[in-house]
Amino acid sequence: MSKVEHRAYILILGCVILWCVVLFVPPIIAYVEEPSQEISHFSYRCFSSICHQFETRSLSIFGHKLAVCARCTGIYFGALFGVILYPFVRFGKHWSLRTLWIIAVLPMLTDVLLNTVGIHTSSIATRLATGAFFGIGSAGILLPIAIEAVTNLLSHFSHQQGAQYESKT
Amino acid sequence: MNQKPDKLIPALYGGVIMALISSIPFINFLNCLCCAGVMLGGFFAVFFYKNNFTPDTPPYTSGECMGVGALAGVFGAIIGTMLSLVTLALFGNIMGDYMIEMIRKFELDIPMEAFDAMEESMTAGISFVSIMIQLLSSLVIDTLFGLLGGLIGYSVYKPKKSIISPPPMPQPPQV
Repeated sequence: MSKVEHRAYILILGCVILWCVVLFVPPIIAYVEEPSQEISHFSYRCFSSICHQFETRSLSIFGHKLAVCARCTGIYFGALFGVILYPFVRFGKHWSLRTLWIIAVLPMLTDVLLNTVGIHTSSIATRLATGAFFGIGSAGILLPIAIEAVTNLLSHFSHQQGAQYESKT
Repeated sequence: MNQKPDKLIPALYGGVIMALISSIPFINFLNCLCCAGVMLGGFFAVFFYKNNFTPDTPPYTSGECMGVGALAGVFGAIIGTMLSLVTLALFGNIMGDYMIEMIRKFELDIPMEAFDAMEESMTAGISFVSIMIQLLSSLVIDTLFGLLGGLIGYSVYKPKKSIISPPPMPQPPQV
């Protein structure tokens, strides 16, 4: 990794960590403001457009559910794990993107479909595990592209700043 | 070489798709799949953006696709908030009613207080504060996931690197 790519990687890692931390904010607010639910209700509502937030399908902390369900939590933390792993492990280098996407989504899709048909009942553990697998996979697929994109933007901005500095002096 | 095409119109198309998926009742369940509807909007924005390219224009970069996806997210959040207000005014909170009905039907193991809070929040009316919260959270979430959709779009429609064959070596004059 070049210096700019390294900076781009750190920036992306920071964003993913921030997103994962934000998921804990609503339950912490709910715990702090107990028994009232005014602020926590609004903070949960911010995430309601991206997840069903069913209590029975969510992990909880301090007796309050996280901002998103177990599967989504698995995906986001899996993505975080995938981003952390990226400098050390590169998987599926010689496979096409389509194959990689299929491999990443297959366990999660199987879990959902078998549960819908009634052959197996998904539990919090299966939701978390299959979500995490998808998260790690999608981070592995998208991260090189994201690093390339952020590197482009960073070089573009530094180039612009350099041009501005030159025109001033 | 020609200049690169405009990003606004493809982003607007992507935003409209995003807004439609997010605000039409029951179709917006798609967003429960890790914001798939929003990502689809970002993906389509990149699809429309790449359609405007001709062989004469320089190829699109991942940074541009990320930007188009994020811009689609901004449009999607604004249009989606307006559309959801319209659907709420026209049909009422049918999604909320349906969810409560589902919870009752399947007798999910939810504490009574939590169920009451859920029922209260789902049947609550529209206020200026709730609209602003929806708009602000949509702006953040849609931009973020639209950006991811843009990156997925780039990974699918990545321009193939053209291999430029070197010009043929001049043949030495035959004696």
